[in-house]
Amino acid sequence: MATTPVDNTHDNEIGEGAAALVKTTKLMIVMLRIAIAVLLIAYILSGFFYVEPTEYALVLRFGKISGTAGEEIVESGSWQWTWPKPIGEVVRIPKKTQSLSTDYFYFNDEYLGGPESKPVLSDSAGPLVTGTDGYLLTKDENILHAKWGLTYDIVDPVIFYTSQVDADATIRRIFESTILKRIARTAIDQALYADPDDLRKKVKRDTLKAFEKLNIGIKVKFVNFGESTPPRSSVLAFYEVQKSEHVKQTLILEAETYRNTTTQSAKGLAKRRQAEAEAYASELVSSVQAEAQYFNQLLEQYQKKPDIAIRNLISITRQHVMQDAEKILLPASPGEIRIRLNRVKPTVTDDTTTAAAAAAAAAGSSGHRPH
Amino acid sequence: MAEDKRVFQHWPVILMVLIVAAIFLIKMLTYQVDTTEYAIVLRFGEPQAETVRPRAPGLHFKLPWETVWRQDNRVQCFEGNMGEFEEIMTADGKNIVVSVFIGWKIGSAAEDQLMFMEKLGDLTTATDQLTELLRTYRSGVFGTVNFNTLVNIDEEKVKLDQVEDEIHAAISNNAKALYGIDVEFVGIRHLGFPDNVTTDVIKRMQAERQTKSAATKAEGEAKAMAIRSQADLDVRKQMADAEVAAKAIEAAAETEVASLYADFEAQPELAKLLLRRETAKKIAANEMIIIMDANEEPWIMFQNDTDNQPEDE
Repeated sequence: MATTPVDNTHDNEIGEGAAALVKTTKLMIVMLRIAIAVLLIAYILSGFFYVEPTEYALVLRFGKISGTAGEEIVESGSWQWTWPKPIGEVVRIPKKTQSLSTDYFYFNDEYLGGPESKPVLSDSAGPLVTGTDGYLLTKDENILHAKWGLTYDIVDPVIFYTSQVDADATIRRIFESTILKRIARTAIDQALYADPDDLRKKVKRDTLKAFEKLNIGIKVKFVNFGESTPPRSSVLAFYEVQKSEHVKQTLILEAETYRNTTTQSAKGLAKRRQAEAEAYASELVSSVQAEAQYFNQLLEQYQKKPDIAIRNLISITRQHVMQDAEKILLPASPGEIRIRLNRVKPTVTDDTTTAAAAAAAAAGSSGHRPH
Repeated sequence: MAEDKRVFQHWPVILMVLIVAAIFLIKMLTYQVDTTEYAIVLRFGEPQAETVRPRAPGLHFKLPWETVWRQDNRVQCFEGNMGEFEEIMTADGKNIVVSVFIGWKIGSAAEDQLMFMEKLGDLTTATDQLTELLRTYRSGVFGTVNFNTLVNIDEEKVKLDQVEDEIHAAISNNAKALYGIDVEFVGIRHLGFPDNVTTDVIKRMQAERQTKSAATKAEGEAKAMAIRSQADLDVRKQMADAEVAAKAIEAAAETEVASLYADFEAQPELAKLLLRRETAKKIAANEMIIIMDANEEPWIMFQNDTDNQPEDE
């Protein structure tokens, strides 16, 4: 009996396919295990976070701030771990001093070439466009453009985070409103020239009060009063007033200089006049006393021998007068005599004395001179 | 045992299924309320008496057929969705342009939250309605005040805080009663004139400056003149006082001298001679060239001494 060979090729193929499938499934299960392990590890590791020294951090667990009251803030400058989302979440709030600047009250300088460009100066007044050109109204109903800045610290991150949707917008608007109300009580000259720093301090005081009342977890540190100017088209007119102020001050200073000079000169002249009077008095009294004494000395001699006394007297006088004679000219004519006495060399004129003398003359003083 | 082992071999699949099922169940049966929001549980889209209550922040359970309505519970600040700047006529007939902002939030009571949800539902509708209230009461309050209570030379008369308070009170009452909204603050952000009026204001400012410039110069001149005049007056007075004092000194000396001259009366001829001698000395003390008759006294001495001899000698 002849045997027919059995074809096992198909069965073998099925067996190999099943084996490959099993093998693949096993491989996938291994890979799935690895994937699950990696994902779990990654999820756990993603919960680590570092809190920078320049920031506060709050940890939310199921949306609620974790930590007991007063201890909600995570230590800065440290590594921490919390459950990742959706269980946990980290809210970061800046610890660094924050600053904002507002040009809400400044004219639109975009078409002038940007903030660095100088304002166009013109005498023609054009309208300011609401919503584009910002400005403030002063108490004397003038228009003032000004830029302001505010610096603040976030002192209570929990209140800061939970009180305002957009804290920056709120702070900006409260600050601008405070400025507006203060300027409505300030004259334009006071804001521009008289005491801008006093205005800045008042705005800071008002801002501190406003944020204290609002309680949004910030503390104002500094208020900056930046550029300020009247409307561009009136700037030239304001410059003119400034120039006039300088002219006024110059005139007053010159007058004060004149006053000081003339007063000092007059004091000098008055003292000199007094000194002259005293010298005259002293000289007069001394001279007459000497004469009286001399008279008394001569009197006795004169009463005894008047002629001798006269001759002595004339002789002494001649000697006295002639001792300073520089030249005695005896011309041919015998009846005439010329004598040059006490020739004096020219001396330097004292300007102060001259000025004082002029001032005194101007004052109409009728100077009395000793005899 | 072999069967258990086979099941255990498939733990990753089982774990994945369990995780997915857990997430699905947690999502279906719980909800989170953030610290910064309010939440109301709705059953088939409607709030129920037992579900309307303040929810503390954290994880809460709910039934699968319940949904959650949530809204931010923090203060939101805005100037209105439209008509930020509005021209208003004050009580004394002046046109001004103002911009006012408000800070508002949903009331913390459950009734407020429910009212907000039912009447407004979302943020856009809420800001639309608040804009209407803001515009109404902004115009209303500014229309009742005079311009000089907004800016005034006398600081005491400036009532901007009061205006803010009045707008705040008016909006607050309505927003609370109608929508369960608390208005936290109101502030004036812009106060100015209509655009065409600003032209006139600027022209007036220019004119004022020109006047001030001229006045400043004139003031400087007047002050300088006053200082100079006063200085001249002071100098005159000073010199007059000095002259009076000097004359008093000289008069005293002359009085004293007069008493001394009494001694000269004993021999008048000798006194005259002495006086002539003194006069000659004084004249000769100056720089000069004197031309005199050589035959006269005292120069006759140079001509001939014998002429001066007394005749009796």
